[in-house]
Amino acid sequence: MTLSAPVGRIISEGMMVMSTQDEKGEKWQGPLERIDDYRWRIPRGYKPQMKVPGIIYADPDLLSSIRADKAPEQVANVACMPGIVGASLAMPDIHWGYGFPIGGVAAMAVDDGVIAPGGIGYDINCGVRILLTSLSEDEAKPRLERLMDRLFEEIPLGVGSEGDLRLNPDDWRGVMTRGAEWAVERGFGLWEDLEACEEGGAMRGADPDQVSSKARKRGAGQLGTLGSGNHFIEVSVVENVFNEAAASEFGLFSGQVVAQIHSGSRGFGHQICTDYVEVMADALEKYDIWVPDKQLACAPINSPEGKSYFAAMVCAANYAWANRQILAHHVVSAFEKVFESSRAGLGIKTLYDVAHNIAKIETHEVNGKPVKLCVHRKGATRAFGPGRPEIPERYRKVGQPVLVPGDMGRNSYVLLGTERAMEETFGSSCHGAGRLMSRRAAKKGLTGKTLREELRRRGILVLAKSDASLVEEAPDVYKDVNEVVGVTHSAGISTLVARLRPLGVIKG
Amino acid sequence: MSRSPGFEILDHTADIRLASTGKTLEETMFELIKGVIRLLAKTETDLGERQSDYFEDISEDIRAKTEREIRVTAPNLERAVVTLLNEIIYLYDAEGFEPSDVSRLAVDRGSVDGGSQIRITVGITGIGQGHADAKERRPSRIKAATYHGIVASDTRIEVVFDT
Repeated sequence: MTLSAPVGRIISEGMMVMSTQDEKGEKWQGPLERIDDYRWRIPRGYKPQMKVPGIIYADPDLLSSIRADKAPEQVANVACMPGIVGASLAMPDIHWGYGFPIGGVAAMAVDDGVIAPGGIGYDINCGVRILLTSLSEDEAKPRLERLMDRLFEEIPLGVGSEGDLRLNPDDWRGVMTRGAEWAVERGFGLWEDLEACEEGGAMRGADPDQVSSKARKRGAGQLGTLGSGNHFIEVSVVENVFNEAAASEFGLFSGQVVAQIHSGSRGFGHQICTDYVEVMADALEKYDIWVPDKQLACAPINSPEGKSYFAAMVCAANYAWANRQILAHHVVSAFEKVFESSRAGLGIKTLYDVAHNIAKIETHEVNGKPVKLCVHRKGATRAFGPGRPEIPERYRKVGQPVLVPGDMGRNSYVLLGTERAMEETFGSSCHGAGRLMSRRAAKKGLTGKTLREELRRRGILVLAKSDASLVEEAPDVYKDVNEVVGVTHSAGISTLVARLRPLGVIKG
Repeated sequence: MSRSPGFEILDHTADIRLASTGKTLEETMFELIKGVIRLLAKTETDLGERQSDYFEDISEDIRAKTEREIRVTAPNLERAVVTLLNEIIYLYDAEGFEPSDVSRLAVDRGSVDGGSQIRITVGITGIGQGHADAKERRPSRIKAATYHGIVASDTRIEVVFDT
């Protein structure tokens, strides 16, 4: 199923260099067995070391781009890791990453499996939050330009940008162990925001002693900043509601203005990943573990190295939740100033806040028995179905909101976690559009000015700190999120609730 | 690519790949470091309309050139390469040190307790050392060197960066 996108390609074919194949121009030639229209299997026999098969969620069109960047080879590599259970999974937005594919999900048995920093990624708990408002598009449009200017002024943006926060040792401990709770205590946002965050915005199991001083130094001053690359703040309108009952539970209605915040753990998370990839490189030898790619370096979950990494990763995850809580506070503040009303008066509430890069200890049914697993999601969203205790009480009846941001020129989606996801993907779904071409290829023949003007003609205001960063994130460098979400919905691993259309975007 | 010394930045779907070549390990390593400096440095195209603002914002004392020494000891060349590159990125991101040139480089191979060891000492000149206010820093998009698809020999090194 492909959803009709309301906008076409914004750049003429001649201006962009498609670069979906690797440098040698070769496509992945490995075996893919069709399970059904949306599921494809890499058989265990493809590599002798594979412990489970690979399963890719895609339709034939998406499969073509997936084969082109050789991401299936990475799916097969992950299937070789010790303790992996079920299958090495790839969501429809899968693309070539480093070690693990982006869009990959791998569940390892806690008893005899491994944990790999590369299976979570450098930007630990990169994720997205959506804020609801009671404003309609018509009410917001006259002040939209002022709103975007205000957001651009108030929020520290690019790589290495620093906010005004300076953390003392107690603050650091609070950020690492209590995440968004610490931020609310410091006056950023409301306690009710945390009720609508994955893990309540504060994941348990953090140990600040496992975090290096280098990581703290790199993260100092970056709390409350957006970052560059694919991070953004977007003001959007609910363009279409597909599931009225779920939309009503989530507080969504057609024509409603919402805000999306996409950011992560900044330099703090990057340094933690960098530090622990080195620790895991030593662990490979210590525990006699073979992996097909050194970026898959890992250690047994229950080893000192595995426990230490998990505790440090949780610190970074909490930093990211604190970061989005602070960014959300700035967004609310900009709305209040521009629309000259209070948060309550504007009906601003947190819909949900999800992690896209994280490992969680979760219990799932495997071969009819509950098994404790370490679920790695790298560029994938938890998508729990109805009834799971991990879901906020207000959503438990319908299922978890799954937030899927698109590129700056096309749509984003709110989906619903399903029972089918619980059965097939350890409760996981797609996380975005999925990159289609390299950053260098994106820059060929396109300028920031051209892109901004083209988007403005289509009613989308874009403000960016760096032209280079803006061009690298041009809509055509991504797969069409409508296609990704269409496959996700048709496969049943999460289902459509609402489609969002961008009105204004802030980029780092 | 020939073995003549040089570096090039290659396409990669999600990330950036840097390749360097040389006739000796020292030469190849020298080119690699020049390559990462190029990735961290900003050009007129990167800065676009804001170029003049960036340079006006940087005060004279920050512009003053200084040298930082980095020492890396690792059990093999791959580990040494990734550790060295990540240290350069760390100095940029955490300490605001913007590298501009390689002033000296020494590579030693030896053995410790029966295992091999490689030691690299590099001097890098740049601006902004010790500068705490990142508001004046120019942004870069590479965030970490990875082991993914790494190639590390005396005459060719290839590294993929997380961006």
